[in-house]
Amino acid sequence: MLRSSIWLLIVLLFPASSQGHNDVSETIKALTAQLEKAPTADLYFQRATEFRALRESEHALEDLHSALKLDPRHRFAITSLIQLYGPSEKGLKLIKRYADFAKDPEQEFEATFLLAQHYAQSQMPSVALLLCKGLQEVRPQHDPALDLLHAQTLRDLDRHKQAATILKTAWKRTNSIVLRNNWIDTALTAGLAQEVLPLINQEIASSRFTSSWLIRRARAALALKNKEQAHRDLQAALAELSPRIRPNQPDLTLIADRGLILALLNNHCQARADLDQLEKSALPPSSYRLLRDALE
Amino acid sequence: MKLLLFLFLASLVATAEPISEFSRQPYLQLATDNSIKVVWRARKEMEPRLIYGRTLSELPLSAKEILTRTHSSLQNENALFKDVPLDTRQFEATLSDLEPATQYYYAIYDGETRLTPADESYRVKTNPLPGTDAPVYFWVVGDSGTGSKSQAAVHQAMLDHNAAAKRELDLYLHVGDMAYGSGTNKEFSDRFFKMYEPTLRNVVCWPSMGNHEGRTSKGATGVGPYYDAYICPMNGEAGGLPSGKEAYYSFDFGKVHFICLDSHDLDRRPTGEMAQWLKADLEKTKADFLVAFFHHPPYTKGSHDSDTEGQLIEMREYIMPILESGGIDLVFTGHSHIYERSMLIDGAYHTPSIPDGVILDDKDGDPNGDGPYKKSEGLNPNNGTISITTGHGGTSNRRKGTHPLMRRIILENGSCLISIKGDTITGEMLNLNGKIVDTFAIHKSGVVEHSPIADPWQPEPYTPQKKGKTPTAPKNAVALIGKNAKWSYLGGSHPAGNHTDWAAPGYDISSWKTGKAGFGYSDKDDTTEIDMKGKFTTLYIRREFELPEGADLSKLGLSVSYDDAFIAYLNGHEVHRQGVDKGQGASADGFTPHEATKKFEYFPLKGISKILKPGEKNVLAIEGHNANLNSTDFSLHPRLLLGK
Repeated sequence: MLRSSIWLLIVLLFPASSQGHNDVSETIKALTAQLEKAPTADLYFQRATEFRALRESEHALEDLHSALKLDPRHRFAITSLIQLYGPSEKGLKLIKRYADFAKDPEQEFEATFLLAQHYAQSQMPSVALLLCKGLQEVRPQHDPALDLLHAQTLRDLDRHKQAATILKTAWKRTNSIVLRNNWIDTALTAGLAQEVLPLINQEIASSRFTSSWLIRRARAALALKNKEQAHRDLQAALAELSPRIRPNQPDLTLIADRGLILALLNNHCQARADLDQLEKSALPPSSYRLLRDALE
Repeated sequence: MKLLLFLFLASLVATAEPISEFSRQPYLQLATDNSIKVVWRARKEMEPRLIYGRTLSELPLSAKEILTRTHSSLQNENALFKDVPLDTRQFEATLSDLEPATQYYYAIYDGETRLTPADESYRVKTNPLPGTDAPVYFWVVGDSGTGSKSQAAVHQAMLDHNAAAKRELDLYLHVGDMAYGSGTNKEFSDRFFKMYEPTLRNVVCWPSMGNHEGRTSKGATGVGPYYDAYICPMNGEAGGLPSGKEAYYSFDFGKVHFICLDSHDLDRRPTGEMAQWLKADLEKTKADFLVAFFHHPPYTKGSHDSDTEGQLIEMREYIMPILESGGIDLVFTGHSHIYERSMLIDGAYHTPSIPDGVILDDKDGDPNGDGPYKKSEGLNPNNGTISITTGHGGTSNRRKGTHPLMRRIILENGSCLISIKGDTITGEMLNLNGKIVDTFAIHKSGVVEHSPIADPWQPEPYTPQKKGKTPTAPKNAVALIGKNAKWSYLGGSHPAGNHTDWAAPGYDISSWKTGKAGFGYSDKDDTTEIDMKGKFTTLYIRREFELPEGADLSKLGLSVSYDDAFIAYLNGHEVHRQGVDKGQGASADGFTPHEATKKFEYFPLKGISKILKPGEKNVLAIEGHNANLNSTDFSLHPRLLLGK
């Protein structure tokens, strides 16, 4: 299954960020004037970055290729192209080219990470998993992005317990609340409800908005065959969530939560309507992975 | 008495001159309710020691933990970025086990040698306990790190304003671009730490990274001069949930929850780690007020355009829905070199931005104007946001259009001063001359339900003035009404009759006063002082003039020194309005603040041939408007010129 969330990891490493002090289109004009006088790979890369800020991908691609013609080893031009091409043959060729000239440990790590992402996205989680393991050994104090990718590949291989272990260990190491919440979600899928239930109860007792935690407790209750508790929690979650959802222009992350509640309440028709809304939006599918899985 | 004199003199010395032993003067970081850090740099070996206590004369406590950081070639762990001079040492002292909301004084030593003077400006104050009802007063600055005179003037204006008001900052938010052009260590030292030194030694600056710092510092890795300079709470140590990264974090100050995001180089999508953390953090907080700050504005038409630029669009489309469903009150951003302050909005995520269905209150929010915005008590989803682009802290300003959600658009350097006390947020924009040019408030009480306004007020479209095309008075012009001419005037009430009767010939002005122009108060530029501050905002003036036979009316124009806005009439017909969006007299609304200068501004008058009567007496009438009831000044000084 394609996991577009993986691409967030590329974004983390290779941001498409305008660098301009002034208006972007004026920066492009200034760079164009400089390029006409004396073209360099750096100038092409800079202009490509500005085009990307304006979401003009075709112009950005042209400039990145021009940069690579002038400097075939321009690291940032290659990595930007990898990002633009996504999980494709062209993307893979570029990753391999980057890996070939990677000199220092930092670049080697980066190239391997990109390769792992590529295979994870290309429905080859076993290969991605091997690469992730290797990276974790090379750099024990790594960014949580690697843990999330590692867990993702394990989930894709239906090894949910191992994925939960990876996330829990990473949470303990980094204190990141995102890793903790991903661990809890994965543990619930893995059937480890008893382990995470005390934490879920703590969060329900101490949070202002509890709907996401009530959903988690309902998932735990369903795993523990306590349908009544699950029903109560899901209804309570729905009651809290509904006033937070604007009729127009809602927070789509809340639509994903509502869809999941409805799916768990076996209201598949309305849950499907929420899923449709999400699929029509620009949100990456991994934002509503649990809802989609619940409806499958 | 001798001690007081010594402290006073020491204070002067310390404020005037940096301490030579430091390559970066002491500054505060990471305040919590029981701890705070003091950071400084030196270019030599040092035996660092920091002592502190509750009174200036007695400092019995000693910082137990002082971390020393050096160049990456000299240490592996906690090394400074590679662009620092090799002999740089950064010392980070932690003052722990402190009482909440309590002031302490500190002194830094090298071994037994005291380096900082016994000066009360070397002090720290811990945050109040989360949830306690403590007021907070903070400063917000963006895009300031130029090292320029305007950056210094904006800072000085804040210092002067607070000294006059006898107020002290509790904290300082910087929305990015604090060290142009690439956020190097040297640029940070010269353009941030040196510039703000007197403030930074006793006020914590909580930063968000701008694109210029992003050239050398990376949010994903937390490496670079930006991350050397700041110590941000990644483990939830100041309140809020642990983010695991210094790039984005939250902290509590009493009943206010502050959220910093990295809009520059991290994934902005809801699947990203940052958005996942944000959602969880908003679910958890039990504060009564929410303030978010980051660099890239979701709404702007200043030097950048939020309808066309990716980072800005993504902050609007992906992040704003999460913030608003979490109950956000204020959003501060920079990047765009302008001051833009929105109306009360909700759900404005469209690209391009449109005003339809997203403006909950289109008034000015000024307690002395239309009155404060109203929201429900506590945090409530989608109950209204004020978005402020404050990227005018020290760069040249620019404007490329009019954003439809903005209530105030001001193109001058300045900063924001925000106070949250009781159930009210009050925001002010202080310009570099020390004048408050925008004020708004949000009153959060009871239950307030909003519906989007069907046909909301809209700011005037922007017409850029072409360079060299600014109208100038015709050469050899004759003054039909000259400087310091005598006028009839009316203040404190509106003229009887319909809204233009008073401007027409024959109107009874026997009860009006007379005086010489200019009219106004403060600024020492007025001949006739009008006692209107805090009492009224509109002044009406009129006088007759004789128009020569055969005058070339295409060369007739007004030359005016004014503050803030006016509408001019000839024989009862409106012929020009400046800085007034709509209405007339009592119903006039939408004022653009404007400062009077010694130089009069010229406005040619068009389409007047059928209005005027050559060879006869005609009437020029002007209504002058002050943008705020308590504005620090008002001026109206017109001349009527006829070119030969």
